[in-house]
Amino acid sequence: MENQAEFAKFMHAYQDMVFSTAARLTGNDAQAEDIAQEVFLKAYENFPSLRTSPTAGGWLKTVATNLTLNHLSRYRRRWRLFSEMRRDDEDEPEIDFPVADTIVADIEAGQRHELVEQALRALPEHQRVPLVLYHFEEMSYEQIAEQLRVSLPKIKTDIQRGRAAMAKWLKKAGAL
Amino acid sequence: MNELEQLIERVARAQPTRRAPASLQGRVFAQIAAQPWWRRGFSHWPVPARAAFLVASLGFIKLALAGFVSVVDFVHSSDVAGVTALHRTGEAVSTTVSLAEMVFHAIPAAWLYAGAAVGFTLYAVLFGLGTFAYRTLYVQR
Repeated sequence: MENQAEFAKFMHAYQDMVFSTAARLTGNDAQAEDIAQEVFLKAYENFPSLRTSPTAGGWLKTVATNLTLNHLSRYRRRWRLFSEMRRDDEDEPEIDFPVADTIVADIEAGQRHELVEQALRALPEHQRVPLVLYHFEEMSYEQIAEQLRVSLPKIKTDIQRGRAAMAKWLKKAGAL
Repeated sequence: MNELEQLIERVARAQPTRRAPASLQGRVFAQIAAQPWWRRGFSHWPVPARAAFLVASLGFIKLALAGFVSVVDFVHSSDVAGVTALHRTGEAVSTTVSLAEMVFHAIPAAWLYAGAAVGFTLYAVLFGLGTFAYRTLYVQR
């Protein structure tokens, strides 16, 4: 019982981080909850060593990322195919980007955060996944290319297109 | 870093962690409760099960050693023409086993138990590392 109470405390400390990672990568809250559950079941198996580990957060983040990518891997082939396809209208994002200080001055923070999450969900998977890994999970282009087994130039192109699409979506939604 | 990258980086930095659903913790604990003990980690097994597992492991080791000694004895005692080389090998192995037996009896029992515990722990650690490496480096990709 004491162990369970301790684990509940442990979960409480990390569950938002684990869920965020999975939700942003999948773009689907229900799938993210399933993945988060799996992550914490693995954490429970390893709880004797994790409970005192200073790197428990990093361990959980890595497991959450890997399990999510595993979950998405069934679509990997299709994703690669789409990633290979080029659309002329995607090559040059014709958007006027605001200067950094003017980002979303008019709407309240909570609303802005929700719009950003919606913008992420609106991205196609082959753009969202590398973009989230780069901007939210702080992985390098090289690490992402290796992890996803996609060539480095393609990863850079997908992330750039993802940024452009996201900015376009946010601008249209009035968040930029 | 271009302007677009800077913009998205700022947006990402400003984004707070999302709140996990309230149902998550309940789901995890329900799943833990539903798991049979043998599917949990060894450290979560009931004490009698852990003890039985260790005893069984030691039994298997003893059985394997006894089997090996029986084979050596058989080779040593058999008098088949044309198997001199085999006899010599058998004798060498038998001598080695006898020596090992003498050393084994000379070692205090506590040392043997400690050695077995260390061996088992090392096995468990290597098994864990192997599993971790497999899952991290191969399966997750």
